[in-house]
Amino acid sequence: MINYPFYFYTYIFLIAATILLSIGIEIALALSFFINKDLYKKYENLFLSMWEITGTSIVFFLVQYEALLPSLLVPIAYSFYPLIFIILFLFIFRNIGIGFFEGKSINKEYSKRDILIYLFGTLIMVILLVSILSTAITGYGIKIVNGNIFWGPSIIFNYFTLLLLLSTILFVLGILGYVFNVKKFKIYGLIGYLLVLLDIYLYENTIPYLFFFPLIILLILTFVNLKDIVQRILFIISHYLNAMILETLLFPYIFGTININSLLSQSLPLLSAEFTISIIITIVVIGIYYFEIKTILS
Amino acid sequence: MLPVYDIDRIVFASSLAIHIIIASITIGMPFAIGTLELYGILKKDESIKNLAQRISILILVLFAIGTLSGTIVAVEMYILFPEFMQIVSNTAIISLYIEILAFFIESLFVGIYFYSFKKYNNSVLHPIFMYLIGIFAATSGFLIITLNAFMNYPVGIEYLNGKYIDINPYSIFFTPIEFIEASHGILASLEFGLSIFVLVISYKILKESDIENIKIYGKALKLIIPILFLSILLLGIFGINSADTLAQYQPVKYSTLEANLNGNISNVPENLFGIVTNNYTLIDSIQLPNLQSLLLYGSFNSNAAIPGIYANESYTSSPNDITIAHNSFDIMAIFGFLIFFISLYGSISLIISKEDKKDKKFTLNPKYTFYMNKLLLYGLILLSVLSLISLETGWVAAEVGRQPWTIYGILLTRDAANLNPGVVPIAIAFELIYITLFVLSIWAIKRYFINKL
Repeated sequence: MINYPFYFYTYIFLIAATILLSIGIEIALALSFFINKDLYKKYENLFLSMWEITGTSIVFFLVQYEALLPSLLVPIAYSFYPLIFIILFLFIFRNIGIGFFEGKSINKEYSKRDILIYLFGTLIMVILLVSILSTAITGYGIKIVNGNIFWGPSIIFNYFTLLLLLSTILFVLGILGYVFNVKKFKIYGLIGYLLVLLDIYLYENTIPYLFFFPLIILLILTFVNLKDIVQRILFIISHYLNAMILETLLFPYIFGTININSLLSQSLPLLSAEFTISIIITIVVIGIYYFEIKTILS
Repeated sequence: MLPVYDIDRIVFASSLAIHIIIASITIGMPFAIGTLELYGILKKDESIKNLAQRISILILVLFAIGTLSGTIVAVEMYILFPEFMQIVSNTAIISLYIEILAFFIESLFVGIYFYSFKKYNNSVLHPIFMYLIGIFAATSGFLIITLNAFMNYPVGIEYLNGKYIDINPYSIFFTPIEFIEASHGILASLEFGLSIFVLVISYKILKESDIENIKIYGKALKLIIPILFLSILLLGIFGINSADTLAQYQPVKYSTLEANLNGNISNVPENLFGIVTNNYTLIDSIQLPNLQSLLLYGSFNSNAAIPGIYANESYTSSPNDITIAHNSFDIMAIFGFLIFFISLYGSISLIISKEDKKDKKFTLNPKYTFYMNKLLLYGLILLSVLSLISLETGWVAAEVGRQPWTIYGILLTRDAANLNPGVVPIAIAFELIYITLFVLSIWAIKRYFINKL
């Protein structure tokens, strides 16, 4: 018998990890426009096409959330709508910019200003997304009274979110090191990860031993010279491993206190159908994406 | 002051109105571009192949805007109608779930197409990638319309312990209205997308003075007009079948769209336009005697009753909703006929005209070189404008015609909506900014991409 709540809880974490990774790669490559032009030129096509994965993954996250937590849809819609509209606005800003940007790029017509506009919209969007993710993990900054959710600016201004935001910035720089082999940036990725561990320690008063496996991988990546492809694969494995360890630690709670076992209300046939389709989506998307990456980088 | 749920409706409707335009273009236009490029590769015609690749940039830009407008619709559908999404999540979400797969594949093929110009320069694989973009965009549309068909005709669900749950997740694909509604919707999008391609080419010919360039554009029109005509023909056939299916399976909606306000009666006139008063009387309409009975049952003197509304029943549409749905339906149908006749004229001209004229001329003569005939070129531009209006009014008719229900017989719109008054100013402000940016984007597309083709 499949434990559907656990499966979908894991799945939504993996989608969130994909969004974080793809936005991280986008921002890292956008930054390389200013700090390493050769690197930018080499991976320009990857940068220009990355938003397609980011955008689609965000929509997938939304649908998965709707499928996982029908009972939470109403209270969240009633309380979080201002924040969600702001994120949507930033999404407009970023996507309209990026569409023209990519269109103009066919004739190599875009400029530093275009990239700055894109970076501005994307960075603020990331801050808000990471803050929501952080709140979903800890519940800091929200109050639940009689089924209604109340929140304030403290969803951003709490130690957990601020440390997470700082480590996200370092994670982006780490991507330049681990994925694109700019050696001097690897150390930032490692420091970013240590900050995540500190964050978890402050929240849980302990660090589960499982987190040491990704730490060992990052230490190897930082201090040992490996082939590019091995380095990338190990980094991606450590990234998803972290997501899975985190969700194992947090399951079955969201917002720190809400048990999702009591919220999952679909029928067994529907859950089973969603399970089957989620497996198909994963296999098909990874397969075609592999082909796309090969095409782009060739 | 409108109630909060009506403001939710208006905000969501305006977002969907924008998304329908972009999504339809990304359904139809890839088939035109793919055909052009395939022709260029097979016939070794570099000029046509290059034209296809230049126009393809529009797909890239529109896909970015479409991803955005689609995300906005998805988020607003949830934020503005949370009760609706709650029921969908427990019952019919499987179509949205599979739609994600189609959307992913479409998005991946957008990347593959645009970054493989060199790798697959003269390979038929390259236009096939473009076809795949269109096919998966259409699949996405099909799956979204499937959810809409479920809203019109909910099946496979059960009311248990105070909530609706699903008993057969795949039953939504087998409602009696699914095939006709989804096919009609996809064909309308395909036709509109193709008409936008034809609009761009016609506009370029009207602006162009170099005869060699005009000939290249003319060749593109020659390839695409037959496909456009075929799509219009199929759209008409499915449109007529849609009306029959409506009368059979959604008689209340049919009655709303036809403004039949006197209950089930026979020998019914076709009501064109008009306003429904507060006591459910249709005024200021043009009535064509017995025509509705003829259209539905194929006989002027049919005794078979045509579905009609009984105004005193519970949950009847409001007079305003009936007026909007009925007039939208009529506009769609009448413009549909105009579109058909313009495309028929274009197709005839394409077959019988000779390619020898070097001057653009405004003439009714269909034998005049078709791409030099300003009447035809302006006609094709008009066709795409009419297609846009038909697409939007068709959708308004379909959605407003179901009111006051969001899910027929299960969930009223006023119960589905987010009734928090705080939503109103934020949603309206957001929508105004969004619409402004959308209009600016269209202007920028014309300036940066269409003018530089």
